[in-house]
Order: sequence, then C-alpha cells, then structure tokens
Amino acid sequence: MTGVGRLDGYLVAAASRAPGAPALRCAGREVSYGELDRMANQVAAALIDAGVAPGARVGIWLDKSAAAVAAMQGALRVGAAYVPVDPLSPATRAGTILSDCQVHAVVTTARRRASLTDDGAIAARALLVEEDGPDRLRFAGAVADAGPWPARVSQASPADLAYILYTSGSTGRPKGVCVSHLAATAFVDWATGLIDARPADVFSNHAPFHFDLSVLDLYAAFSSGGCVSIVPEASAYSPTSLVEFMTRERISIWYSVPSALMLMIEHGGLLGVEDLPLRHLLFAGEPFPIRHVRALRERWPSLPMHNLYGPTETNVCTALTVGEIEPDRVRPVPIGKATCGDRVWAVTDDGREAAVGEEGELWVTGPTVMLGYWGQPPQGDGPYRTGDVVRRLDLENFDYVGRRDEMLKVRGHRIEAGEIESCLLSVPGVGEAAVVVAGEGLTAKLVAYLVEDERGGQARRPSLIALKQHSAARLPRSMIVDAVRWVAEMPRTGNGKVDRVTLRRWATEQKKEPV
Amino acid sequence: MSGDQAVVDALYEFVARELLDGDAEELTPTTNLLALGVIDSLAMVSLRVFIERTFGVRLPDGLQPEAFATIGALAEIVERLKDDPAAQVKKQA
Repeated sequence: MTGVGRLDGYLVAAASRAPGAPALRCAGREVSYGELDRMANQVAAALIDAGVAPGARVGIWLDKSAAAVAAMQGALRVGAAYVPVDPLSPATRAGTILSDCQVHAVVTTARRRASLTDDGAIAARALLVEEDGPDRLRFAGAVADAGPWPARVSQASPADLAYILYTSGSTGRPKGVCVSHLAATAFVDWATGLIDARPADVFSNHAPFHFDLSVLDLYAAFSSGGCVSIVPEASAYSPTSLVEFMTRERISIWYSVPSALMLMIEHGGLLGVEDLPLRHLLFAGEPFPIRHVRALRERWPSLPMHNLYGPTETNVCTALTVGEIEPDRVRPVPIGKATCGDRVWAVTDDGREAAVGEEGELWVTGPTVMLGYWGQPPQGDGPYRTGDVVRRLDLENFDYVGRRDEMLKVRGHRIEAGEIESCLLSVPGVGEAAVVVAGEGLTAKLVAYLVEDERGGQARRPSLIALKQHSAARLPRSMIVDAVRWVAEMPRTGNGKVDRVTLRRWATEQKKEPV
Repeated sequence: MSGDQAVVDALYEFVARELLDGDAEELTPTTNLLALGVIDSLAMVSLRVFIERTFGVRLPDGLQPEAFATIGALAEIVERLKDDPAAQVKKQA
C-alpha cells in the first residue's frame, strides 16, 4: 500500500486490514498487527498524558523489542518525532543525544533512566518499560495506566519531522539527521515496489533501530502487511546462528550490511544452505567485496540481489540490481542509478558535472533528502553533498570510489575520526591523536596514532585498556579503537595538516615504531 | 574462579596477542572485553576456533555474547565443557 504520506499510516492501515496477521516476531514471541496497534495507542495515550504535543521529540532508549517499535509508532501517532538511541550506547552519549534535540519524553527502563547524568535528559518525562529485553512487552507506570486512544493517523503534514537518527560528528559531538515523513515514505514506497513486498513476506531485522537500514525492515513490512523478524542479539554475534535464523524464520527479504553476510559466508556456512527461503537479498552501508557477491551469484543464479547506497542524510538515493558479474571485475558492484525520485550527479574538483569516465563528489536532491541537522540551518532544496567520490560509468550509473574527508567506515558503521580523537585527547597524557582504519572488510581495525603530552610532567602514557575504558564510557562500541601506536610526532603534509595517507600506510604495514 | 590456571593463561595470551594488538597492560581475567569493544562477532569466531584447536571442545552455538565478556567467565565455560563428552571435538581422520 503506497501513498499514505505519513510514516505511521502503514501500521494503522495494515492493522485495520488484517489485525490477526503477524506483524513482528521477537525472541520467540509473535505480535499481531492488532496487538502492535494497541500497544502503539497505549504509548500514544501516555505521551498525551505526559504533555507531548505535535512537533515534540520522544527519545527511545531500549533494546530492540516490540515495546520499542510500539514506542516509535506511538510517538508518530501524536504528531511527535522519535529519536532512537543505541541501546549499547553509554549513558553519557545517550544523555548528550537526548538533551541535544530536547526530547520532551523518553521511553526507557528505570535502570537506564537512573544512569542518565545529563541535565537535559533528566528533565525529560520518562515513560518506563518494565524491564529491558526483546521478550518484554509490558509497559510500567504511566504507559500501563494510560487510557484508550482512538487509532488514527495523525493529521500533520508529510513535511513534518518523523525521526532523528544521530550519526558520528566530526567536531566531537554526534549530529542529528532529521528525516521527514515525506522523505521516509518516499524511500519505503520505492523499496516496497522494488521487492514487490507482499503479506506472506518475512523481513529480517538485522540493523539496530538507530541505523537507517532498519527503516526498510520495519516499514516495508508494515506497508505490505508482512512480518518482520528481529534478529536476537545473541545470534547477531554468531554467524552460524544467523544462518540458522534465516532458514528457521523462513526469511524472504534479508537486508543488512555486507559485513554480516561476509561473516555468514565465511564462518556460518551460508553457501551450504540447501533450501534458501530468500526472495530478495539487499545490502548497503559499505562496499561488498566482489568475490563474495560472485560466490552468492554462482550459488543462487536467479536470486535478486540489490546494492543500495546512500548516507543517512539522503536515505537510499541510488541502487543497483546485481545482474551478471563480469569474470574480470575486481571492484565492488556499482552503486547504480538514482532511486526514490531523487536526482544524483557527480561534481568534479573544478565544479563541473563529471562526464562519463570521470570522478567527482556525488550530490543529491530529491524527496528522500533530510530536512537538515538538528539545531542547524535547514537543508532546503539545495543539493546535499555526500562527501563520497564516485565515478560516472554512463549516463546514469555510478561506481563508489571512496571518501573525500576523514569519515571512516568500519563494518558499516560510519565514524568521524574527529569524534574519537576528541575523546582520546581528553585522556591525561595524550597530546595529539589521529585515528585511521587499517585493513578492510571484516578485518578493518581502528588504529589511533598518539603523541605523548609532556606538558603535565607526571602523566604517563595510558595503556590501550585504559584508553578503551575511557572511550567505552563516552562512545558507542563501534568507535572504540582497536590498537594504539605512540609516535614522537605526527607526520605532516606540506600545509601542516596531519598526513593521514602516511598514517594509513603505517597502520596497514603494521609498523609499530614508525619514527 | 577457574580451577585450571592453564586455561586462563592460554585465553589471556590469545586475547592479548590477537585482539589487543599485543598490548596487555592492565588486562585482567575480569576485564569486561564486551564493553570495551574488544569482543565483536569476528573476535567470537576466532575465539571459538582457538578454543576448539587448543582444548578440543566446541562452544555451544547459542552461547550469549555475555559468555565472552571476560577471560575468567570464558575459562569457566571451557573447564565445564572439558568434562562434557558431547562437547568434545571429534578428531579429523
């Protein structure tokens, strides 16, 4: 069902069409559309009681669960926007995010709530879920006591804010990407059409809710009346369990970062599966090494595979359905051509649109582009400059080449070196810090080059464990460095900037004492 | 704590060498490796392989990530599996 225009419209429509159909499977429990609809209304009523008005923000800091999904829907139903926070995030970072976008209410557990120290986050009204965990459906306190709420789609405009996804920020603070109902539904409607989604489909949900990949899992399922099966946390760490999950749950639509698929291929026996339930395989978030895509293509020649591309700021803006793979191809498959009604083009260093065969930065305009970053001027109708360098292959198709700036990618996680560096610089004894990625694909590692701060005198070099402990209290796990190299001084480029090309080479060559 | 110091030592040495870039200063058997981002899915795979090769026992598939959280906890699991006939890895012909 397309053309609802509001992100909360899909679930409302599906619940009225087939209330008994399964909407969600999580930790061995199945939740029907009718049940999820009622839970969303319960949250909506509690949010109204808590004074949440249209246009407000509602933070959600929970493990993946039916309650977390209901909280997202409940926020939308009262015309508010939801802000999913990484459940593995330390309390300081969760607090920074919740207070940055001035949430009016937070749906979380009592334990998580008690761990918040940020004044802005503490000031928000808390709606508590009894206990964390995927099988917990019960709300506590205000939500449990909330009265009935008439199920309806809120009447606000499709141009309104639907959710904010926080990504790593180069200045040391995470930044909130603001996505409208219009942008989200433009993507969901396109994706639903791409895979011809139907009520019998079972979608995997591998990505966390604060990752934009989860938008497809949840909303393409709700828009088609299908079921979304949430990957249990224990399985997410075990490749064999992931493959077993895919076959046991009869997943027909799988969408994840390539890293998860690489693990399943290399360590989970995916290619040995006899009775593959998939109708479509989708991946996004990082380049997928061609040998793995080729292995999948050879194993299942008729399985439709789609490479989706787009930063959080534009959602998916290009895509390619993988056809035949040339035997001599060594690069990952192209990112394809514009989708979702967007327009994309590459701009060369001298400001021209790239000709066929030329490289340039990919620029995007169109319905899926974000409203802007929270607290910053709106994006407007101007093009969003992705910072990604692409090569123009023909009139409309592009290859991904790399980044223009210091943004790093490790197993699909988008990381600004500056955010990790400012965290490391707050450790006594660290005078300078530069973080690079060594290796690629599954073996990519974050390596920090550090210069000792000799001004303090008594501060000694902190150990790797000490630096990790300091980071773990402030950053998501994906941003904790894997290795540290102390150097006498940073290599510099001609204009005095840290020479990251040299650092990357050192890191890749495993040199421990480069100077 | 674990009855067999040798298991703890072997796991400690593996974690230090393979997962901590050889930098084990301040690492203890109770350091929470999960919270410090030392243990991710790939690290769990390599620990499983190491444990099979070194101790001849196979970790159960459905093991929660928390089982890998500390060297001490993992050593206790390995200890228990050494006495469990079903967990023994069959010798390849």
